[in-house]
Amino acid sequence: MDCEHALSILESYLDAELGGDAGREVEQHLAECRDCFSRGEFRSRVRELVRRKCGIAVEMPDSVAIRIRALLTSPPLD
Amino acid sequence: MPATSERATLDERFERDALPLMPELYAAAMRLTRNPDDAGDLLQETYLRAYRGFASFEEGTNLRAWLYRILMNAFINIYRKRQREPQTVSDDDVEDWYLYDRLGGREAEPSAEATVLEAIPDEDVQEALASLPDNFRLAVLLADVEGFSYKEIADILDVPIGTVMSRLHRGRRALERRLWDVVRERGLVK
Repeated sequence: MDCEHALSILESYLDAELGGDAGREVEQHLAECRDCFSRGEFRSRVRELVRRKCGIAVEMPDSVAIRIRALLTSPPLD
Repeated sequence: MPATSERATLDERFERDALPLMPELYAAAMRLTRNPDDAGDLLQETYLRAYRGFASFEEGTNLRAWLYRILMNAFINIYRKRQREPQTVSDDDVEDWYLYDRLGGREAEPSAEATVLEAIPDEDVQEALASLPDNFRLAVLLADVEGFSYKEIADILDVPIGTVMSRLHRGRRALERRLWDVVRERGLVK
């Protein structure tokens, strides 16, 4: 597999969406090609950064849950 | 409307399976609306719709993805009508390795590149993601933050997998472009 091909499917590979032979071939290429490996590392790092910095824990206020539960258990209007 | 006994069974299942996912859906609603009042309203609308439509949910299939689908539809159909969607800023033009090349690529120490990225404040990354057009933003949010697979995202957004891949690719590149702007505005690189 050449770099161009590897980079064209790198994103799917990093998303764990590339199974079978294609996945193994990318893996093999990354093990041998320093440049593509470095690009893959970079993409993984950015994705992990986005996950961590955008996915911060959010606590749901009790009042929200109580309000929705009350709406769901109230008798229908019709 | 299903018969009374069916509704009772549905109610039990809804209580047992759907209600425990509320905190997670609330967090997703917060990430979409970025405002507690709007997130509460969006979650309420989502759960009312889910409750009404629960008979059409096939037991044993992916409930989490089903609820996210309702959440995304409610967000786009209701919430977005009240505010303007961020403007598209020629996101088609972003080069594949725009940020990588500017952060030094392989010439730089990987740790230096990581330090720069790490120094970007959380709010700036959130702001950058929120500034993307909805098509891109939702795909990136679902994949990178909520952790859904391509197939699940395709189901949630009701688009083909190829479209998910294309939106993800373009969305991530557009996000990287904006992160570079932040890096420069914040003076994180010389």
